[in-house]
Amino acid sequence: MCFRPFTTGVINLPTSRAPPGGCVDGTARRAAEIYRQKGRPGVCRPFPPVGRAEFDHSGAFAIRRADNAVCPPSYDRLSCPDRSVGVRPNLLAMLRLVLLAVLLLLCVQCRAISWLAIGMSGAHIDHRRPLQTCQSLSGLTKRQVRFCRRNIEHMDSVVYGAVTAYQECQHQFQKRRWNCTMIDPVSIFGDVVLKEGTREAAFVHAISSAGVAHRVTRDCSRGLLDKCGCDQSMVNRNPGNGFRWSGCSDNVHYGTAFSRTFVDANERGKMQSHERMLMNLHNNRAGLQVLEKHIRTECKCHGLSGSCELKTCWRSMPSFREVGAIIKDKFDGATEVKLVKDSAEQRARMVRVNPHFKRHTHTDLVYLVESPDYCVADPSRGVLGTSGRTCNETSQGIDGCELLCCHRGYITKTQETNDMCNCKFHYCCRVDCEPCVKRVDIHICR
Amino acid sequence: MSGAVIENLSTRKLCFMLASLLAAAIVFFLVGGLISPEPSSSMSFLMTKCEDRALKNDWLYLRPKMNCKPLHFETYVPQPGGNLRDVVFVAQMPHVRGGITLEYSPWFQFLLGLLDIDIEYDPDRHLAENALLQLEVRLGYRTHDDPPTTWHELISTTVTRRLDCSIAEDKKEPNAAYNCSVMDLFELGSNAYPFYLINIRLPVNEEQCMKDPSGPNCAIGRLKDLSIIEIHQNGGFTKIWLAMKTLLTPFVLAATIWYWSRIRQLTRQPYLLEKAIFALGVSLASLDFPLEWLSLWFRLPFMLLVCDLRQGLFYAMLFSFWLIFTGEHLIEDSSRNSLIAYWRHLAFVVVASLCLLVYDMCERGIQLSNPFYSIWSTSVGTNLAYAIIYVASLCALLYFVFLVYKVGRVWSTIKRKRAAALQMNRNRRLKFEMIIYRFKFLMALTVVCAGFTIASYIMKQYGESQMHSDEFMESPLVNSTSAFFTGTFGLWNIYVILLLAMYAPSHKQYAGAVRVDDDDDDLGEPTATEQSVLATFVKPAVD
Repeated sequence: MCFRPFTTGVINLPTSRAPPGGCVDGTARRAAEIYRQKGRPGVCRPFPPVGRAEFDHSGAFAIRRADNAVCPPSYDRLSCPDRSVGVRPNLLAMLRLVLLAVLLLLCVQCRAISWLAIGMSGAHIDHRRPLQTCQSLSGLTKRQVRFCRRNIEHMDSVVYGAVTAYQECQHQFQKRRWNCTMIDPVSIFGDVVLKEGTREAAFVHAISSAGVAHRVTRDCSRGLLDKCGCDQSMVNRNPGNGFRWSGCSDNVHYGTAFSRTFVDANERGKMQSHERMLMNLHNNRAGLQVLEKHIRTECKCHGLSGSCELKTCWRSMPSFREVGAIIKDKFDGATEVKLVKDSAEQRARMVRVNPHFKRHTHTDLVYLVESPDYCVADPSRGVLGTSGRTCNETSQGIDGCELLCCHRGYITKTQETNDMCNCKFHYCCRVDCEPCVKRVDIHICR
Repeated sequence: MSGAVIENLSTRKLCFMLASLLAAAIVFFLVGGLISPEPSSSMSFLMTKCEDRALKNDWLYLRPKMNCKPLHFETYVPQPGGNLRDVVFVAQMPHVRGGITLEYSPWFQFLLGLLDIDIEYDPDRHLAENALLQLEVRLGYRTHDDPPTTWHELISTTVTRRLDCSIAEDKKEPNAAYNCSVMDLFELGSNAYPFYLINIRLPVNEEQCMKDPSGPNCAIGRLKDLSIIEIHQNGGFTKIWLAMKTLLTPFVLAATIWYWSRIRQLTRQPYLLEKAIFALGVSLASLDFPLEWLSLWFRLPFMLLVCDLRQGLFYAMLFSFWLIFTGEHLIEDSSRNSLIAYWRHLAFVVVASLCLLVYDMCERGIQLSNPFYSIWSTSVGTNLAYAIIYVASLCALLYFVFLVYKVGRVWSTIKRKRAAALQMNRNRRLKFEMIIYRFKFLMALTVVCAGFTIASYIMKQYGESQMHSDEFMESPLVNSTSAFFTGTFGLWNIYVILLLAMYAPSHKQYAGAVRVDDDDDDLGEPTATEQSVLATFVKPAVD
C-alpha cells in the first residue's frame, strides 16, 4: 500500500539531461531522473535552495526556483496516488473521510517523520476551512490532523518551520556523504531515515522539532499568532489580568510546548516498533532541549539614573543556524542505544550499547542501528551514494574528494559560467553587477 | 546633642522596640516575596517588515487586519530601484495573547523600548565598525475610544544609533549572525495609553553614501530583522509599592514633625546633627510621598524623572548624614557644628549628586520632549555621559574611603579615651560612655541596613540569573527581586524612623535647660539629673 520509491532503476549520471534551474545538486537530479524512469509526473522536484522558500503576503507557501520563477502550488502536489483522493473536493465528504483515515493509517505506518512533508507540499493553509486544509496536508497522522484543526492559525508556522528545518539539514550536511537530499516529496527521505533508527533519523527528528518550535516562537513574537500563551504553559485562562498584574513571559516555552505536542503526535499510537518510538520521542525532545538550553538571557539596567538597581531580563532565541550547528554536533556525538526491559518497572528503557561511553543526556541524540557508509547507491533504502557528487579537491575532511568519493576517484571538469562580477550592493535591495565569464574546475565523484 | 531619647530608654523598651521593628521589616520582605510579582517585565516584538512604496504617511499596523504587504528579508530578492526606505518595520504593542488583546495600563508607570538588530554576515555587504544606524521612527497610540484602525501620532522623529556588532573570525560564513548589543530606543515616563504602534523606516541617501561610505545606514551590513524589547513596571508591583508608600508616609511625617517639635522645645539652637537628622526625615518623607497616584489619572511623563530626583535627594542626604554623624563624634576635632566645617567632606557627595543630576537631566529630562532621545547616541554625548559617570563614581569611592577612615578614627579615639576614662570620675565616664553608646548604636544599625541592602543587591542580581535559568519554576528565588525591593525600602524607612525617634532630645532632659557641650574636649561634668538617669541605664546598655 505504501509508496516505496526505489525498487528498481539503474542510476546513471544525467548531467547533460538535467532540467534547467530548479535542481539542487547532483543527487537531486538523480532523484529526478529516477522519477523520470518510473514514468512519474513532475520531473524535477527540487527542494528550493536555502533561503528561497517564502510565504507570500497571503500566507501561502510558494517555492521559488533558482531562476526566480515561482512554482505554482500544484507543481508540488505530487502525492501518493492513493492519497490524491483526499484533496479532490468533488468527492463525497464522508467517503473521503473514511478513505483518508484508512489510508493515513496504512501510509504512516512505514513513515517515521512523515509530517515533514507538509513543508514540501506547498499547500495553501486556508484558515476558514480547517478540516479540509488539515486533511489535505500530506504526512499528518490522525492525531496531528486533529491538532491541526484546532490550531489552524499555527499551521503556517509549522509549514515554514518544517521548511527551515529541512533547509538547515541540507546546509549542515552539504559536505557529508549523506547530504539530506529529498528522495521524494511525500516521504522526503528513504527508508534509511524513515525505517531504520540511524543517526540520520535522529538528526532529522531533532532538527524538525526544533524548527517548528523556533518558527512558532518567532511568529508569536512577531505578533502574528493570537493564541500564544502568556505563561510557561500553553494553558492560561485569563492573560489580560495576569498581564496587568505581572506581565507576560516570553514565548519560548509556548513554542516548544506546541512543537512537542505536534511532533510527538506523529509518533504515538502508530504501528512502529516500541524502540523506534522511544528513540524518536527522545530525539524530538533533544531538539527542543537544545533550543531551550541555548536561549540567551539579555538584561537591561534601568534603575536610578540607569543603574543596575533595577534590571529586567528577557530571553532571545539563537538563530536557527546556531541551533542547527549544535544539533549537528550532537549528531556527531550521538549515542547508540538498545532497549532494556526492566522487569521491576515493567517499562523499557534506553541504555547505551557501549558502557564505556558517557551516558546520554536529554539533549543528546540516540540511535539504534549503525548507519550505512552511504558510498554506494542503494535505492531500496533510499541511499543515493556519492557518485556524481562534487567534492573539494583540497580538503582532507569528509568533503574532500578522497573520502567523499569513497576512494573511487573523481573526474575534473572545467566549467565556464556566466557570472556577475564587481557587484555593488545598494542598501537596500538593489545589486548592480557587471556580467563576466568565470572558469571553475569542478570535481565529480566517480 | 545630649540627652537623646536613646540614652534614657530602658533596655527592655529598646529591645521591645527593635523587635517590633524587625518584625515590621520582615513583613516588608514577605509582602514583596509573597504578594508582589516581579518589579518589571518585558515583552519582545519581532518587527514585521512591510513593503510600502507609496511613501504615504499612513500608519501601517498588524491588527485587526494587516494593512501591508509583509516581506521576508531572508528571502527578499533585490529589485532594481528598491530602497530600504520602502520597507517599514512595524510593531504593534502589546501582543494578543491567548486570544485576548492585552492592554497597557497607567499602573505600568513607564515604558522602555530597546532595539535589537539582527544582522547576517555577508561578504558582499560590509558592516563597518561602529556603523551609524539612522531610523525614521513614528510612535503612535490609540485609546479605547478610537476605532481599531485609528492611530494618533505621539512623536515622529529621526534618530541615530551606533551599532556595536561583532562576529568571531572563524564564524564568518554567509548567513551567520552578528552578535549585536541592544540599543536604547525610547523611554516613556508614563504609560497613559493602552496601545502603541511603531513604524520605523531606514532611509538611505545613496549619493551621500558614495561620498561618505561610513555615513548613516551606508554600512550596516545585511539587515535581517529588527526587534523591539519593551520593558515596563508590573502593575501588581506598582500596587504593592504604592500601598507601601501610602502606608508609610503618615508614619514618617508624624515622626519628622514630632522630632522637630522636640527640637523646637529646646531652649538652645539646634545642633548641626539634629538638623541633619531632621533633613533626613524630610527627604524620606518626600521620597515616600505617594505622588504616583496622580499618574494613574493624569498623563505625567515627568514622573520617572521626579522619582529619580526624590531618590537621589534621599541618598545624598543619607550620605551627608553619615559624614556629619561621624564628624560630630570625632571627639578630638574642635571645628564642628557648622556645615561650613564639613564642606570638604561633603563636596564628594555634592559633586557626585550634581553629576548624576546633570546626567539625569540630560537623559530623562530631554526625553520628556523627545522619548527617542539618548545621550548615548552621539559620540560627544557618550563621552560626556562617561565623564559624568566616572566623576560620580570616583566621588562615591572617595566618599566611602573617607567615611571608613573617619569611622576608624572615631574608633581609635574611643579606644584611647576609654582607657583614659577609667581614671576619670564616675560622672565624666558616664557622660563619655553615653556618646560612645550613641555612636555604636547608630553604627550597628547602619551596618545592618547597609549590609542588608548590599546583600539584597547581590541577591537581586543572582535572582535575575536564577529566574531565567532552565529550571524556571524550581528556583527558590522566583519572586525574590520584589522581596528585596520592598524589604530594603522598608528597612531604610525603619532606619530613619528609628533615628528620628531615638536621637530626638529626651523630654526627661530638655526642660532642665542644661547644656552639655560635646564640643568640649575635656568632657564637662554631667548634671545631677542626667547622672541619675544614666546610672540606671548605661551599665546594662554599654558593652
